[in-house]
Amino acid sequence: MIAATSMPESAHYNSEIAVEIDARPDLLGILRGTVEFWCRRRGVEDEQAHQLAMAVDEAAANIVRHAYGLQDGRIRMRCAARPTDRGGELTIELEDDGKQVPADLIKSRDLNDIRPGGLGVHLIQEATDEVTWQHLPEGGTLLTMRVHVPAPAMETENSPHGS
Amino acid sequence: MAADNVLTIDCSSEGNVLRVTPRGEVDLSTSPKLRQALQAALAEGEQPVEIILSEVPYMDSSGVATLVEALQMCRRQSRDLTLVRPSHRVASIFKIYKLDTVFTIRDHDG
Repeated sequence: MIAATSMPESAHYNSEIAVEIDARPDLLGILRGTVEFWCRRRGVEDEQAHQLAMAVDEAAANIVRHAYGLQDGRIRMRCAARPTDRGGELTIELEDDGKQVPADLIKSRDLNDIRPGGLGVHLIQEATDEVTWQHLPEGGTLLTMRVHVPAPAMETENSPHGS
Repeated sequence: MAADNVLTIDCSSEGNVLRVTPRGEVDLSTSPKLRQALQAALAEGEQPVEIILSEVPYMDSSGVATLVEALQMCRRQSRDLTLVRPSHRVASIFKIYKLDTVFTIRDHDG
C-alpha cells in the first residue's frame, strides 16, 4: 500500500524522498507527515515546514476528491532540494493517474465569498512561491510546488540519502 | 493498514451553552464525522454554541469548510457560534483564509 519507489529521475534533480500511497483520505497524513519531517531535517523553520505540509495535504486531498472522485488510485510524491543564489529551493511533486481537471477550474476563490469549499488552492498558493499543474500526455496530472528557503536549510542536511 | 486518524467528538450542554469538543486531527478522512456531529447537534435548539478546538492539532480546508457550514446554520437560527482556544496553528489557518474576523474566536474558556 505504501511503497518507497525507485522513481524515474527527473531531468532537473535527484529526488531525496519518493513516496507512493493509495489515494485514500485516511492515508493523506502519511504525505503531510513525510513532508514536515523532511523539511525539518533540512532545517526549514517549523512554521514554513508546517505550511508546506498543509499545502501538500490540500493538493493530495484535491487529487483524492477530484482526480479520482474518491475511487481507487495512486498518488506519487517526490521531494527534492537544490542550492540557489539566495539559499535553496525545495521542489515537491505530486503525480496522479486520475481525471485531468481543466486548468481553469483549478483556482483560488474570492475569500470575501464566505462559503464552505474551494479553499485549498488558496492555501497552496500562499505556502509556495510557484505552483504548476501539468496534464501528462499519458494521462494524469503532475503538480509541482516550489518554495525558496533560507540557506541554513541547505546546510544542515546530513541524510545519507541527500543528493 | 488501518490508518490511525481518530477523531472523537463530545457534545454537552453546560448551563445555557451547547459545547462541542472534537479531539484529534480534522482532515479529509475525519471532517465528515465532524460535519455529521455538528449537523445533528445544531438541528434544533437556540442555545449559543461553543466549539472547543484546544485538542485539534491539525485542521485542513475540509475541516474549515465544515465550520463555515456550521456558522451558516447558526446564523440562520440566530444563535451565536464561538470557536474556543484553537491552537496557534489552527488559528493561523483561519487567518490565511481571512476567516478570523468572520468567526468569533476566544482564547479562553467561558
